[in-house]
Amino acid sequence: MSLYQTEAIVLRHYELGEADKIAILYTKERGKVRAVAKGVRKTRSRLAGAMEVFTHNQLQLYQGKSLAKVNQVRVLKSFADLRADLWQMSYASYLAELVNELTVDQERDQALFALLLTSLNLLSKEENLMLVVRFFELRLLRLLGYQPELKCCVECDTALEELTKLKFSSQQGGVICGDCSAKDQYAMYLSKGSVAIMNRLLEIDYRHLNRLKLPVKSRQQLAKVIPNYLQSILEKPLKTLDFIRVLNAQGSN
Amino acid sequence: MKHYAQPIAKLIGQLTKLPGIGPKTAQRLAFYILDSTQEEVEELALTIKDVKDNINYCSVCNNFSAEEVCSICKDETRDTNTICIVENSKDIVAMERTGEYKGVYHVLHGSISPMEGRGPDDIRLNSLLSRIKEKNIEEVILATDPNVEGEATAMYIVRLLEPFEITISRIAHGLPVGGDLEYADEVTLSKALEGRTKV
Ligand SMILES: [Zn+2]
Ligand SMILES: [Zn+2]
Repeated sequence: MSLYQTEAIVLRHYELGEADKIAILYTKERGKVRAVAKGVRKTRSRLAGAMEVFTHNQLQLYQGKSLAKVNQVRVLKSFADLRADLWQMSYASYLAELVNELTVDQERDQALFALLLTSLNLLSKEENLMLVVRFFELRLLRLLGYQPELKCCVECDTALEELTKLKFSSQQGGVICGDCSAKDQYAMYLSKGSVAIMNRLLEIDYRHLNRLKLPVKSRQQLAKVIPNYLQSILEKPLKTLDFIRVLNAQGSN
Repeated sequence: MKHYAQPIAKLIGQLTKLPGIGPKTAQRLAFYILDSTQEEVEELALTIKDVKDNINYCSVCNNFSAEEVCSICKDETRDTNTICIVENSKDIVAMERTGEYKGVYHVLHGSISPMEGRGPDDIRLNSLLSRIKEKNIEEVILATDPNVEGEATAMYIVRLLEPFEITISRIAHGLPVGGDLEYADEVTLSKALEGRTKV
């Protein structure tokens, strides 16, 4: 039990009883934290707005046995623009779902916090949304120790330059050569150009992200390969991806 | 729960499933029911069953109704060229309390949510589209909740209705962000309706 101050980003929330909500927060000081926000659905409290998804807050939390309680709140950035466009909202929701699903409670990771905040900022600036999402996915994978093998075949170690046909194996977590790909029937096609973009995304300073070009071919490949890899790590489908698929299918892009 | 006779434990279990009811409240309700007379209990049970048997969706607006068409859609004094879109039937009650609104409604029975993977097919949009195609609708007012799901739903509907020549507006002004429409007080909701903005 303790009282502490932290910056936090609201990942999502659930309704609790008549008037309360449980917010899942990603905090700078203690990683993922579940916190009760009292009375946010009934009153006109400032807390209600502060507990909307994506909001970046300075919070005072009281940590109980399993749940924390939100004591004080100061909104640092509401990210209202992320909630005012269906695509920005969908991609920001995807980022939040990834963090929620891939982290455990109360495990501090300040680099992850910074990555999430940076990426939400980029999405809200309406930079190339797809590029921001791919940047986030790859950096997140690296932070969590799942950086894909992109330099050589993940099975036989043949260097990338020597490979002619290559694919990506989610199962093995990296690029795989034509011969070895027989071992993974689900391996997906990936061009060398796309691999180069993945490598660039892993190195690039986020401030230079808009200098990167994402050709249509690579955009399509990476939009399949990376989320597929993430889902295979999670061993379950991501709900926001379903939603994005429906939006895409309706051609409302 | 093992300290209770099985039928009591079962009742408590059922009551806990209701929204806003925790184990403690469920226990209290269960014992209240046990202490009631046979007639009272039967009336309660019948009332619950009766609601499920006799309430359907209004064939026009999807509001819960005991008849084929609900009382609002039947009311000839209402302006049928204006549709106010709400997430739930409860929200109609909130809007009606303001006494300001004279148009008709459309109940979506839900909202779309990227987080929950709830897409446009999970809410009642097809019947809205056919209403707009068939009837002479002039204005649509989006009164979905002022939270992420409500905003997503509103944005989606705006896009969906783009091809039609209708005025689309969104109530927003003064509504507490993050809240539920059904909890908004009459004054706030009247202001929100008055101050709706074209989208
Ligand atoms: Zn190989
Ligand atoms: Zn009706």
